[in-house]
Parts: sequence; structure tokens; C-alpha cells
Amino acid sequence: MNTKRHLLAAMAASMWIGGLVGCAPSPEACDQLCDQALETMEGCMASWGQDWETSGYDGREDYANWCTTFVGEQMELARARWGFPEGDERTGDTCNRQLLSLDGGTCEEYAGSWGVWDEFTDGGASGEH
Amino acid sequence: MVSAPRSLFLLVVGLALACAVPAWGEDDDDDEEGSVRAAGETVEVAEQRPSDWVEPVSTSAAVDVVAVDDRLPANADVADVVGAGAGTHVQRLGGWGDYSVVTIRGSSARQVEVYVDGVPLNPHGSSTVNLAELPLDAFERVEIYRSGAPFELGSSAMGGVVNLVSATGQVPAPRLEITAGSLWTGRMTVSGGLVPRRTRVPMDLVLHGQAFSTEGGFRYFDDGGTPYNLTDDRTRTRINADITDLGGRIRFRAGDRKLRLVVQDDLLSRDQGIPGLGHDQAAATRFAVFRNGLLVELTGQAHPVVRLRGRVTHRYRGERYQDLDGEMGVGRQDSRDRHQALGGQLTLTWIPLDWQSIAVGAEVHVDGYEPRDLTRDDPSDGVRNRVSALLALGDDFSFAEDTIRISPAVRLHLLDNRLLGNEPYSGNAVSTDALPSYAVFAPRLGLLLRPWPALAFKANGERGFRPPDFMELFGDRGAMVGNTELIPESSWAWDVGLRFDVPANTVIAGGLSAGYFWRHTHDAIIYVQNSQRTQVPVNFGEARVGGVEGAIDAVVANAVDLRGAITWMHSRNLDTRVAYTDKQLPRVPRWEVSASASVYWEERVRVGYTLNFTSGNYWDATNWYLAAPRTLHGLFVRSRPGPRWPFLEVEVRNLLDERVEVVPRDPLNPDDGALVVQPLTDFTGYPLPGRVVLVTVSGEFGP
Repeated sequence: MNTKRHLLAAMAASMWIGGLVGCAPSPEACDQLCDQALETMEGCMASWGQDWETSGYDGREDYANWCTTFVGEQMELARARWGFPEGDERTGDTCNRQLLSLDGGTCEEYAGSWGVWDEFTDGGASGEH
Repeated sequence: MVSAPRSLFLLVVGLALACAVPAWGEDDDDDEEGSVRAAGETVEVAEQRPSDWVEPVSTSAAVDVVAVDDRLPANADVADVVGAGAGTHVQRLGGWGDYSVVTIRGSSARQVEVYVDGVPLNPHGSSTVNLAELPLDAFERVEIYRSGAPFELGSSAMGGVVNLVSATGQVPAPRLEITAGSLWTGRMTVSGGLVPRRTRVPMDLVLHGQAFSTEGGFRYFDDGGTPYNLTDDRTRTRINADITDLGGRIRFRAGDRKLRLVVQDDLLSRDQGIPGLGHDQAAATRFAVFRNGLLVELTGQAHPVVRLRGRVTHRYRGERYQDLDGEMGVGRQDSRDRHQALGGQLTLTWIPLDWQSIAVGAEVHVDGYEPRDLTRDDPSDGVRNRVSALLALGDDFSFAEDTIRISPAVRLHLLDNRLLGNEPYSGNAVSTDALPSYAVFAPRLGLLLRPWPALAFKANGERGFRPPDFMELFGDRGAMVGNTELIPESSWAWDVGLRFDVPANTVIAGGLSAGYFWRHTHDAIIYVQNSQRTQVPVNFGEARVGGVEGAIDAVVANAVDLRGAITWMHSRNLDTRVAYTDKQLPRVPRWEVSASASVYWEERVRVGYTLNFTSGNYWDATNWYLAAPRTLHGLFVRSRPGPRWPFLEVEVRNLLDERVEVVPRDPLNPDDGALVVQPLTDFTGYPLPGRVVLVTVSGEFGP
């Protein structure tokens, strides 16, 4: 009985610590951003007469991978530039702003919508999208 | 997924070893001294240290001695232990079990000589030593000499010495340890021993076996190698990063202090993928190693004041490197290289007076290297040989009631390069101007002032040297090619320091040490990039490294273990080429901090935490890329019902899942405010894994 109690205590402690240090959740708007961007991109590719390959991606999954990686990068840059929690708050706000511009925006506005992140890298001089 | 045949192979071998060892395991009652890693013996280990245990307070050497015991996580490896010391810096090519090397006080990896029970794995810095190939729990302790390595090792290493030492005392009880964890990682170790009874001559046999396998496919950030372009950034899975290794170690001892024979053999077979750069992964490049090391040693007391030790060693290392698609370097490669070394050593120690001992040593090594290019019809250019010899004389005397100890030594290294063979490709004889035979005189002086038993002031001065090794001269592997124009590198180094041990019988046991060091290197051999995909070693002019280091180790109230080390280093490249002048040496961080703390209760429960901080680390000699400061955390929780029960441990490495770092986008203009994310690496382009969880069950069996 004593043995079991020790083993269970050790396992419970390990699980609690594992949960405690798990990935910090990204803001809700950032979780939605890549879903919305993927939907917009697919629609725009059709109107541009392009497919995934000519757009520079291997497919939907590759685009989703790029988008989530990009947003994760922006959060890291924000934390480095403004610290925690301000960096996360700014990231969430920016995700929200881009989400609003993607929602109902035109395909011409899609590429420009990524410029909202420029200040995270260098204050607006390096936007690739 | 781990391939089925490999898993089956590991399982069968592991079970066979596990079944075999308990049959050998007849523990002996009349143990000599010392202890081995055993459950619930943390304090006892400290108190029952063997007679050959090096106490930092009683030697002039700048040394850390780390016991391999319950204070460490069950899956700590040699790199973890060495990297946690003062003045050391470990670089890894990947995760747990992957290639890792150590540098000491700003040295290169080759300048650190690694010994196993006093037998050199890379004499004269003849190669880097992959620390992942060394099974930590086969050893009782790890000695890290930043200066003043023991006379009997015969080393004039420029960067210090790491000596892994087996327990010389009791034969361990049979033990089985199994680990499973992230990235399809598994490890099984078995150890045990036999002490035959009713024999005229005391003898014992110790066995250790290990099987390790990992898929190594961790997720990492890939910037596509284009920091300015974020459109090619992805989160990818490491491919071709699997490792399988199987190793064994056997040691037979017979006799006593008057005359003792030791026969020891280490065996390792390792097969792994070479995943290449993170942004250009190699899918099919493979590397395999088969290594064997044999030691036959005879020690004896020829006279009450004269002790003799003779050793014969043989090392074999076969390496197979296959890059059939030309993924790593220029062109396709398929090579099978063989290294062999035969060595003999004789040491005589004479203790004419209580306060003086004189040692004389002689050594001869014949190193052979045969590279075979299997893509050619005639794969071999023949065997390249190098003969080296050492004559050494050392003294150690103390006076003023042992408060002052002086340890001078002189070594004469002789190196015969006449059998090195011809240059690769051209077939021309290697220029004797570039590679003549050498006689290098390497003096050393150690001073110890010990006004009280618990306090020691130290000073050391020594010359180190290292000839270019076979790979540096003739190598052609992946992105590394050799240079037959290299000449040996050498250094002068000195340090001053102190060690204070907390007096016994207090709530706190332990001590602290601090020191200042300085080293001036001539003709430093450094790899530089000579084309887009290849690097070549060249002799730089001069380089200088200085720094301050401190360390603390303490056990508080028999319930808390604390260890910490801090190092500040200032390195300067004195080469006259404009691109390098006055630049910081690559991979020599400005700051390095490591700390560990664990809380325990009678070894029934132990919770431990580790921290490692590195900053100010340039990747290249031109100081283009500056790695961001980084802090890695680790945690382990261990529990066992009672002292002789098996334990269960959960360890989390890289607790906060650090996989990226943020750095200035333009390293030449860091003040422009632009930042960029890059993967966390030790070697440029080789990402490190995020959080890894390992679960271990370990138990001892027997009476």
C-alpha cells in the first residue's frame, strides 16, 4: 500500500509539472487566423488562376504549416521586443486586426494584410507579403 | 517509428544481457574501498570515497570531480556531467544520444583529451571524442582537469583532460535499468559482477552492457536558410536522425596491491543517420562506428617505496560513412576508415621520503590510419602511420608540515611523421617541411598553498601542444576536407585559484572554488569555410583566452543537493588577417552558467532541477553570427518505496520547450532594430530538440 502511494505520488507530481510547463496558449484570434487565411487563400487562388504549386506551397497542409509557423515566429519576436505579457497581448491584437481585414476583404487586400506584422520584425520595413 | 528488426535486435540483446548478468552476480563481502552507483547511498558514497579519489583541496590541479550517483538524473550522460562544470562548454549536434563534444576554457574539442581509466581515447588530441559513445553509468566518477592533469596520464593537452574512472572497490550488484521516452527513444543498461570465492588470488569480474535506440525525429523551426525571407519558414520533423548503439564493457582484476593484473575491454557498435542541415536535410547519409579498446595493466610494489605500473593498450576504430547521393559535401562518398593504435606505458613512482615522490614515465604509441574510398576501383592509399613517444619526469614535494606543495614536471614528446604516406589525390610525398618530425618540450609547474586543511590556494603553469590529426591532414568526409600543410598548434597556459571545503560535521557539507585562467595559443588549428559546402582546417596566427570561473557544491541538512558553476571568458583572435583580427573566437561563449538543485527524502523521493545558460557565443571566426543568449531547464522526479526497491523516474529535458532564439537580423548592424527568429543550435544548421520526456525504471537484484 505504501509502495503504491509513493509511486502514485511521484507520477501525479510529474504529470502536474508537465501540465504546468506546457506550451503557453496562443491567443484565440491567432488560432483562428490561419484557418481564415487558408480559406481566403484558396478562394483567391481560384480567382488568380493559380494552384498551390504555382503559389509556392506543396498543398493545404503546407500552407497551414507556413501560417502557424509564421504566427509563432511573430509571437517570439513580440516577446523578445516587448516582453511578456505585453508581447502576447500585441500578438493577439494583431491577429485580431488581420482577422478582421481577411474577413470580407478582397483578394487584393489579402497580400497587404500581412503587413500588419512588419513592426514585429523591424517596425515596418521588411514585409515580405 | 523504430524499425521492427532493430527493435527486436535491441530487445533480444538486452534480455540476453539482463538474464546473463544476475547469474554472474555474486557480491563479495570483503570490499576494498569505494562504492558504485547504488540506490540510497548518496551520503555514504561521499563518505566512503576510494583512496584514489582526487580531492580538489589537496591538489594544485584545477579539477572538478563528479560522482556518478543518485544526485544525477538516471539518464544523465557524460556531456551533461562535463557541461555542468566550471570552464566547460558542451556542443551537441542534436538530442539525447547524439554527437556531443566538450571544450574547456575556450579550447577546441580536439584540444581536450578524454581518458577512460587513464587510457587515452584521443592521445595528442588525435580526434574529437563523441561523448555520447561513453556510457556514464559504467563509471564511478568523472574527473575534469582544466589544468594540472595527473602525471601518470602523460598528457600535455592544450585544453584540459576528462578522465572517466571505473569503481575500483566493490563489485556492483546486478542492476537493470530501462528507459523509454519521446522520439521513440529507448535505452537498457545492465551491469553486474562476479567475485569467485575460495581462490588463492583475489579476483573479480565486472560487466556492463548498454543498448540505445532513438528515432530522433523531433519537430524544429526551419527558416529555410534565408533569414530575410519568411515565406519559406516551416515547422519540420527531423529525418534520418535515428541512432542505434550497443556497447559492452568487461573488466577482470586479479591480485592485490602488491601485484595486480587488470584486463579491460570496451566495445561499441553504433549506427546512425546524418540528418544534415536543418534547411537542407539529408535523407540517406549514414555513419557507422565499430570501436574496441583493450587494456592490459600490471601494477606492483617492487619495493616498499617503489611502485611500478606497466600498460599495453590497443584501440581499434572502424568508421563507415555513406553519402551516396552527395547530400552533405561535394560529390558522392562511400568510405570505410580504420584507425588502430598500439601503445605501451611504463611508470615508476619512488617515494624516498614522506614529503616527496618522484615519478618517471615512458610511453610509445603507434597510430595507424587507413582511409578507404569505396567509390574507387582501388579504394586504399595505404596505411598512414605516426609514431609518438613520451619521456616524462615529475616530482611532488611538500614542506612546512604539508602546507606548501610543489609539483614540477617535464615532458618530452617525440613525434615521427615519416610514415604518414603521400598526399591524397596527387600522390606526391607529404612535404617534410610541412610535417617534419618533432621533439616538443612541455614543462609544467603546480603550486599548492594550504594554510588550513579546508583552504587551498593554487597556481599552475604549463605548456600544451597538439599535432594535426589524420582527419585534419588527410580527411575527406562530408563538408570537411584535410590540409597537409598544417603544423602543430601549441599553447602556454597558467591559472590561479582557491578551493574552500566546508569543515565536516556541519549542516552544510561541500565546498566552493574560484579561479582565473589565461592561455595563449600559437598556430591554432581552426576550420574555416573554403567553399559553399566545404570547410578546411588552417593554422591561425595566435589566439588568447582569459577568464574567471567559480563553482560550488553543497549538501544541506542531508536533504538538499546544490551544484553550480559560472564562467566568464574573454577570447581574442590575434591573427593578422583583417577578417579575424581582434575578433572573439568561435564557439567560445562569453558567459556560461550551470546550476542544479535537488531535494530528497531518504532517497525515497527526489525532485531535481537543472539550468544551463549560455551567452555571447559567435558561430564563426569572422563574428558574423552571434547566437542569442539561451537558458535551458530540466526537471526530474524520482520515487522508490524503500532503499533496495526499484525506482521510477520521470525526467523532462528542455522543460520549457525552447526551440528557437531571436537574434538581430543583420549581425553586422545589430542596432538597426530588426529581429529574426532562428532555430536553437550548437553547430550552425543543426537544430536542437524541444521538450523531451524520459521515463526510467531501475532496480538492483541480488542479496
